[in-house]
Amino acid sequence: MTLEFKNVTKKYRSKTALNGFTATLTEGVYALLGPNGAGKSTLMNILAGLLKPTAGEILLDGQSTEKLGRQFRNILGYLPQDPGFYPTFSGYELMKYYAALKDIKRPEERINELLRFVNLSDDSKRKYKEYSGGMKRRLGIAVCLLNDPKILILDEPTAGLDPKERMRFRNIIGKIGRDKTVILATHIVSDVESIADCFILLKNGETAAVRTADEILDIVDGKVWENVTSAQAAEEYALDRANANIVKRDGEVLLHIVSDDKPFDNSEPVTPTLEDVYMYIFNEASEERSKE
Amino acid sequence: MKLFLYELKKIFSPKILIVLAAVLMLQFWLCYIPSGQEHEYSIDVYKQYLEQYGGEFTEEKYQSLLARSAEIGNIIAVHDDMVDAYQKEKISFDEFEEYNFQYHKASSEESTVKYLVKKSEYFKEIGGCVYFYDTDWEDFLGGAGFNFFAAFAVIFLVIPVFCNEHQSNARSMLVTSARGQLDLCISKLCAAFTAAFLTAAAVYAVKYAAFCTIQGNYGEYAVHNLLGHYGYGDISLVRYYFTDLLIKSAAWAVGAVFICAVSNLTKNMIFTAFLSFVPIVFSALIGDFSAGIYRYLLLGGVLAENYAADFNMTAFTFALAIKTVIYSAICCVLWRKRE
Repeated sequence: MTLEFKNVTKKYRSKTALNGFTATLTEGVYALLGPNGAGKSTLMNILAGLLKPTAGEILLDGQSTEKLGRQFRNILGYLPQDPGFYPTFSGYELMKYYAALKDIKRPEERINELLRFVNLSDDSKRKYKEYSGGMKRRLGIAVCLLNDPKILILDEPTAGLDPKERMRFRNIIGKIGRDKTVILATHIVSDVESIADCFILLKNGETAAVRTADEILDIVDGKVWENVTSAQAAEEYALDRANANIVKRDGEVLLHIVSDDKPFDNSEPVTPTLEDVYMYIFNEASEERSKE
Repeated sequence: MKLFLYELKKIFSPKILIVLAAVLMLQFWLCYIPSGQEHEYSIDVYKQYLEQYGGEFTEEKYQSLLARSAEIGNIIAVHDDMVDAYQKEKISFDEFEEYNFQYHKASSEESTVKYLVKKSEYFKEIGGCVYFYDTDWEDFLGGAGFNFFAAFAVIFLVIPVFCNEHQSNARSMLVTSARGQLDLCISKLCAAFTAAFLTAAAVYAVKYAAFCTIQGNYGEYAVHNLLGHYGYGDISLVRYYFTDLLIKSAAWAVGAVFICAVSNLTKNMIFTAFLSFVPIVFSALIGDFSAGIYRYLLLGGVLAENYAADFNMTAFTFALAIKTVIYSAICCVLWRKRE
């Protein structure tokens, strides 16, 4: 299965929310990274069919998703940031309701299987309004998986969750992503670092980079530096710079900097992380915005 | 069918059912408050006369009422002469006292007998009528104007059907489901239609139930026995009321579809309430929209008054069907619309 974005553009009067997005996606977990307003939600809403692109198209195995209509929706699972589930329905009832919406005949077995998968079997009779944030998210995933979708779109799925729930959620996504195309939008880098097969970085509606997990760190290869310094000097340096942060390791204060040039004579290159990539790309974006 | 039942369940949530029960109880209780309607006759005298004249209309009863009317006229006409005669001692006190009694009796009966004569003339014209104590029915039907309880209940029930989905952001998940576009929209519309119909019918039925506990007799008599209710054929008062109940409930059901269309336009409960209130409720309150073509064009027309004898059920059904289709089409287009 191939999902092809061809020059997808969305404009709102004078503002361009997404500009000529082009990419080809197959099975795997795709992390859509970018700060607020980068165009992540716009891209996902266009894919889900909620927004109409101003230009361009999305093709599923060569056929327009718009023309496929219900056929496309049959293989789609979409979980927005706030799914607006009915508070008076129990988890099980919500699953049954969405099973009817997804045209699933005799869904009981599938519902029980999914509730077990997201570890909500014991709470399935409780009302949705009584669920914790993490339980709500897990139920959302279970609802999305009802129709065994080939394409799963998750918008900021870990927003507002505690670390334990986020870890549990990551494990679920990791399992799902083996045989599906999972597109996951987030600005929390650590949520996708270990599970994404490919990273799509958006800034100001433009595609900043599309890289596989193996390639993504190449962007900042040789551009991440650390040097030992005093706590005061580190604080002063990092205060108004978005490309620097302070790291405390083995009783020493280190200034961690992402920069094209060696920032200090005593700076040493270090192994980059995904967070460095994020910092490198989106720090530029913020700088450009501040210049404007 | 499953989607329809789920939508109905969402509409009739436990909280909503409590509010509806309160509305129905309030409607029932308010029926016990006297209507305070004025009549051109005395109710007590009318009841007394009906003890004598009750039953089928006959020429003899009509002649008797005419004779009594003439007699009353004569008694009242000589009043000044009799007072003058008594003052000039041309008649005795006993004679004057006897006249005075007759005079006061005639005065108290005058309007009622005139009404009965008028009614008899109407009976004579249409034939096959029955004298019975119909004041309560006249008050009941006369007070069946625009029902604010039904309006409140329907608007309260229907507004959240689509607005909730827009305001809670549930729409995005719904419309991206396989059946979340046309099928779901139609199910929601059917559920709103059914809920509005049942609720409106319940409000009007409760009103009738309350009336039955207060009065409740003579419902089997034909509606044409009520003065001015000519042209309805032989249908009984109960059947007339329940036909009107069905017409109004159907109008409210179509009103619900209209509200759904507005909901998808505004995507906001307050604006929907306002934009629904104006065309439905205002059209019922301002101007005479219950006559002529307006009764088929505007929902307020049929909701404001009981249906008239020249009411064309086929035209009404056709108009409702057309309106339902138009509002439903608008609703579906707006529900599925991509920004």
